[in-house]
Amino acid sequence: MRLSSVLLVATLGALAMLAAPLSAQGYRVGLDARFQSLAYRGWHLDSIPAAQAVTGSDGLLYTADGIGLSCIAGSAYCRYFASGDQVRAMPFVATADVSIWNIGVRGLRFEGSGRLMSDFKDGPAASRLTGGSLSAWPGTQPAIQVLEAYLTYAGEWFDLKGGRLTEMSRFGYLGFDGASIGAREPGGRVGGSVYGGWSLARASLLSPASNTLNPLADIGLPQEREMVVGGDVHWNLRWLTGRLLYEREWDSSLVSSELFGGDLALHPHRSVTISGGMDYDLAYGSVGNAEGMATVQLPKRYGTVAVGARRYRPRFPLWSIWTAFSPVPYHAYFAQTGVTVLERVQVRARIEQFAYEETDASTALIKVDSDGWRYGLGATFRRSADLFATLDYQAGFGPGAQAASWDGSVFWRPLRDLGLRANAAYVDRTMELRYSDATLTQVGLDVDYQVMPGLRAFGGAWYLKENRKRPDAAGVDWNQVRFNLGLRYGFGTPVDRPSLPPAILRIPEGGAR
Amino acid sequence: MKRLIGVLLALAWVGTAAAQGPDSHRAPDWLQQHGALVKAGNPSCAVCHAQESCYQCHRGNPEVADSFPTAASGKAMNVTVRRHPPESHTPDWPTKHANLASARPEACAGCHIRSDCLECHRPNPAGTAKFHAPGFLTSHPQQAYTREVSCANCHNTQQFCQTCHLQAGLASNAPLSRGYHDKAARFLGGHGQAARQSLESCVTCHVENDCLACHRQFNPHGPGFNPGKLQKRAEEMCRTCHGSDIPQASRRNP
Repeated sequence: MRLSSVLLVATLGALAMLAAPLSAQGYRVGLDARFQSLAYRGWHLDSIPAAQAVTGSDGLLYTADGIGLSCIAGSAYCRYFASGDQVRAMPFVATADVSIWNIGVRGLRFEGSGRLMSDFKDGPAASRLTGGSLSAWPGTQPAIQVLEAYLTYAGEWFDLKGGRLTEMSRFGYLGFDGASIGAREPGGRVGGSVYGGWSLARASLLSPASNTLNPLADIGLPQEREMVVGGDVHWNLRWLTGRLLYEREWDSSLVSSELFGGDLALHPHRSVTISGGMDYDLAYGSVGNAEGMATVQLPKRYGTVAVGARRYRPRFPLWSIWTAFSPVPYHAYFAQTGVTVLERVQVRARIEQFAYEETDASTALIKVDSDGWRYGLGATFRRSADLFATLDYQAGFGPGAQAASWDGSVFWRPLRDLGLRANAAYVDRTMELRYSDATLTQVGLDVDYQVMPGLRAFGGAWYLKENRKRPDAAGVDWNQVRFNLGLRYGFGTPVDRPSLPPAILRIPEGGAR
Repeated sequence: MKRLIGVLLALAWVGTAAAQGPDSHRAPDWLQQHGALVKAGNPSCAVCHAQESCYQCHRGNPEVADSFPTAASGKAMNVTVRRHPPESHTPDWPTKHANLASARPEACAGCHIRSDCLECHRPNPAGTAKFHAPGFLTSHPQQAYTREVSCANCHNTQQFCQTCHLQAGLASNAPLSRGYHDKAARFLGGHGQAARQSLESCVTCHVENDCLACHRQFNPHGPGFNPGKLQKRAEEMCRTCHGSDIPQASRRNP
């Protein structure tokens, strides 16, 4: 039995033991357990002596069984990608959300969210390469992950938080162990906050120095945990709402990130919203990402029309070397609409054109696209809240790859507590710089059942069939049947609102009143 | 008998009209405007709506219903509110909500609680993808290369992308040679443009040493490179290639 499984049982037991002493307080606990099973066959880099290479009818070199070779003139060996090991993954994740209030001081409460996780299969390919154990499915290490765990005190015009906190902003998802203080004027029109502490890696719950975040054994990781400090000022006026943000991360040897930015929303008319934002990379000395969009709501709830523009520039922490390679941004212009054309039918469309800035690195050796476009069309037919269907088509053309896909689904609720969703999708993909054209067909069925008040069971099965259209015999095998199962259960202090959904009951103030 | 039928028909009409709600509820901006009426203490709301009506949407801030009677009190009809998202929540709203959510999070909190955000922004490895369309895994090279949305907003690309690419045999784990980028025979010599356009994709398979094998000698710096700024913030980065002999940062492209 894996260590994570033991820890899972121990934690669930501890939660059950805590339930009794907590009875004097208000509390809500939400438990969510999910399991997934999937498999695929990847590649394995191999080589043969150059003398064994066979020249095909197209003049290119192949192995005897028809796999394309890469031979360097003068080299005694040729390399090729052979079919690799079968990779099986069985990720399991148990999530617990806990809220506790009425703990002695009015306004004081505890909020926590954590996960126990495991992949019941180790990745054979990675084990062979790294000599260690690396889970087959990403994101399942380490076994215990604390998303948030903090005490918070809410006063009339301020709030304090301390513990493991997260910030989600235009700079990304950042967790840290530290504290924050927020303040606002009584009307809620203007406020601000400051936070700081020891940061975690972006979109992760680990230190950037953790080996788990370095599966390829790269050299340029930070040697110590970084510090973070940040803050914001926000305002909420009748026509204009907005937020200005600042955030800096550093360690004893360098400043890895320093960002300033903001988001705005302008409402010049009740049917018009203009929104946008921009950030400036103070560490690199350049404008980062920016976007703006004007949205018009059509009369009588017919739908919306929006046009906008955006800029995307990759951002790397300065503890890596990648910023010095001068990644360039792209600029995009888009329009989109969603309109109710018939009483039960809504159609939607979106188109976007984008182009990269000059790289100063193009050569005659290979041709690389620098601009492209993508569009999507879709429709929803809604017979009722218990029966509706969607169909979407999306296509993208330009640098890197091209893809066109169909996907559709039908949702039906035959019983009050039972929901069924049948899905199907088809993808046709072409790569720009690699022979890896492929089509994928997949069908699936998802089931959601309310077992009893507070307890939901859900699951599904997918069949995926991929056809790699390589000119030789090599290829990834992604054909599989994929399963997932899950349970979600919520319990806690009895409240006088039994008809409320669990999400509301999790709100301490709402449930306690 | 005719009178009875007439009364029943009249009641049915009244019931139907009531079920549709008053005219004000059909205004396109009703969702945005109704809060002001409630705050102003409009007593007519409580004729039909009980606190439980409000809770159908106001999951995150149930206190907005404090001025309403509870359903159990019998003072209101407690009509069922059909919960539907605001007009702004078009199907591609998940990729477009960032500015509005950041500028005015209070508006989101009217219906959403924090775990709604974490559902996507902290992906569950054992959960099925809800943000991405079915078949995304096959189409993701195209969307990731051009970053239609920023992968890093939810995924730690080191852990998430590299782990999977390593398992699939895609990650570089041997001296660089021709082979993977096989549709472009001279890819190694002409890869610069592709790399600067989508460096985030490159580093899901390649480590720093792959690039430094050549770029310690070949200048990788390009448009917008600001050596003085970078040296001031992160001199260690410069030392990776230049050692202690870092060129004077007097030019933007040394």
